[in-house]
Amino acid sequence: MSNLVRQCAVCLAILCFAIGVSTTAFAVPPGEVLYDPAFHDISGGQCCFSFNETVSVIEPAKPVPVVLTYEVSFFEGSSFIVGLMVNGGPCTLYGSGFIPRVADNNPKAFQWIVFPADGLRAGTNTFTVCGGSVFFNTGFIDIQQITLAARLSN
Amino acid sequence: MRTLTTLLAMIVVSLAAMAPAAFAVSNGELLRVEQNQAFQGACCFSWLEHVTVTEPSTLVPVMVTWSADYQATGPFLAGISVNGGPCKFFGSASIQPFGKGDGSGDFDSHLFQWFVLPSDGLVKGKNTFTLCGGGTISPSAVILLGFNTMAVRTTK
Repeated sequence: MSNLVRQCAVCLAILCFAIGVSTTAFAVPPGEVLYDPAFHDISGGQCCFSFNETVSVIEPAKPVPVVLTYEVSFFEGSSFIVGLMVNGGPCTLYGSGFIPRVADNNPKAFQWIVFPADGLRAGTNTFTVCGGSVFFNTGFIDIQQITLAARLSN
Repeated sequence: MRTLTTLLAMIVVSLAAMAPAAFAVSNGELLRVEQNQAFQGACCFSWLEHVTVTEPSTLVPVMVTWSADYQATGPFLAGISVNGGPCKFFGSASIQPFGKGDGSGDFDSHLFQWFVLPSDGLVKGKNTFTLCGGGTISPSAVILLGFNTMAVRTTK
């Protein structure tokens, strides 16, 4: 009987460990990185509006440039431009930003560079993805598996 | 013609909706270009943009990342020239034709990540990485680079 209890306890421990590991694997670390696997049908129309995806970094007393990478799986939609709102400011292009209407369903990746003169300040700085349709008020885009990362330059 | 004019006007309106910025900003290791630049010709020649990084006495590999909007009237290759050397490819290089090459209508976008090893010509101190490339089939093919960024950093 004690062997049976011991075996059950071991099985329970293994199950708890497995659940714990899987939960950790899917958790989204706060701050500088964001992973959003959900499907999004963004239909806010013509550029520009917030996509509600934000990361942040903590700048030293003398701010340094920030490099951000944004990658997304694109399914279908209108021609879109994507950029960033720095600390809640206007939607701005900090590098490339086109997602064309004729898409091949491959992931799209962008590297954006934000310099101190772009509005960075000591302490916490936020970066929110924004954008919209290039041509139409009725434009939309379907995206999934979004990653957004920010890092302070060396 | 009217359609093209309308499209151009709409693009201007859309881009104007975003905040204006300077033509190019750089601090050496990082470069952000905010202007269209057209290049024509067979591979390979300089596309002018460059970044620099300082290597320690014991050389370490370097990672260069280039992210760009573009239009291209034919297939192109993109690479880098290390310290003024020949144009080489240190990772994926292919750019597929897209758009008219004149800035009208859609752009496509692409991100490249290239690794340069010490044996590829890195030297102690300042190292320069210049974007280069060209058409693979037709010497008359045009590539129009839109907004783009280039970044370099040493590995640790």
